[in-house]
Amino acid sequence: MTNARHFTDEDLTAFLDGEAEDALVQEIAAALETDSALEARLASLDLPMDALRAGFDELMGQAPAVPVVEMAKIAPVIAANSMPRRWGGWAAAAAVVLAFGVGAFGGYSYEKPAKPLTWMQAAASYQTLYVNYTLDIASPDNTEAQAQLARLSQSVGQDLSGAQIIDGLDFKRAQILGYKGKPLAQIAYVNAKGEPMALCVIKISKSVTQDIVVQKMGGLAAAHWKADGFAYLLIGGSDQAAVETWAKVAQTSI
Amino acid sequence: MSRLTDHEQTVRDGLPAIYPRLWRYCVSLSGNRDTANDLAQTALLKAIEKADQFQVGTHLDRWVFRIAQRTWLNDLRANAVRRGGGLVPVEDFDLADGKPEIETNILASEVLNLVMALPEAQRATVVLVYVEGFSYKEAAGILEIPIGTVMSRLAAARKKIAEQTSDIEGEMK
Repeated sequence: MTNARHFTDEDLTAFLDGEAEDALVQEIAAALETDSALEARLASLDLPMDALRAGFDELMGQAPAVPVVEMAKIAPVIAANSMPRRWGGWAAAAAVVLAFGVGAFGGYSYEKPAKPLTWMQAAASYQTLYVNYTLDIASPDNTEAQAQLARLSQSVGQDLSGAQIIDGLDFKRAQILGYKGKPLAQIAYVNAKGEPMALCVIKISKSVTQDIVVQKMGGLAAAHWKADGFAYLLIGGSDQAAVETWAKVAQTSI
Repeated sequence: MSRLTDHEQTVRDGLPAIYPRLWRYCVSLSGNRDTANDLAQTALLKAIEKADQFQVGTHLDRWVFRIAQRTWLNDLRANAVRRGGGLVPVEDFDLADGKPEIETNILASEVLNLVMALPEAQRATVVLVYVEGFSYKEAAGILEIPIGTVMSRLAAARKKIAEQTSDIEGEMK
């Protein structure tokens, strides 16, 4: 080998990937005519490209569908009418997630719910979209929190100002969503573990009273109750006992 | 819904088709499915929130992948590392799924696991260039790194995988 220039692994990789500049391609091609060691080096960088793509295509076939959030269907309508601008993004986000759920996923597994979701199932489904990062925002000061709750109270028709302070939960924001055309209040908190929690409130037609029921919904700890023509759902995290305790506080303070 | 801008409409219309690819890229970033689920959802919501920043006429997939990349590095990676996932893939990616284990399936599965065992930066780059088919320049744009770094990551990944696949292919003969 005379005048052999040393090609780096990066040079050879670019050559194999069709990304090398013309001059480099010519140099490598010329060198390959005589340099068997270079040929061996190229072989040592060879990838089974078909198998690689097949493996990742199979993996993609296992991609989950975006969770279905039925209540989001009407959220934008309410959002457009009554929500402060900075709340609009999340309602709109939920709406798009809904749109994905309905048949947009041609080749991917997606099971349509047999029955329409109840408001609690819809709220639980929405809550499952939250990750710890979602509420990684500064807590509003007292004045702002009360202003948010006042707007929410007006929309939903129930005084929710007492929901700001629940011992063990850090109030993050209050926003109005919707379920079947009815305003649905969502008050978001973060617990001491950083897990997102939500208290959801909706007006119901019958003035029934139901004490707190604790159960798992969408894999999350949840407590729900009814009083004075309103239904309540506190949901989030995995600690059922803690959720029940907070639900009792909310029950007495609202 | 008539209030949507062109930007928002384009993003909303385009995201469903991209989501499975986004999720796959998130698996390559995070190293496991559970973290990828969180990451893909967060990236999706961010994309919708930031839709007004998307330039209609440019490539939505690159824009969304970049959001996932930034979200991973800035927001979720530290948590994933703290939980013990993220940097080191913690699961074996089984693709058999009841199908007969013909040689191509076995090799595909092996190669997938070899890629997933690469360092995080290398496997994300491999997926962008060799699986997604982005050019070096496009991958560099998504990863927000110089093209030279893309090249060195790919060279290192090629070397490592080639060493191990030649062993596997040898065993299968």
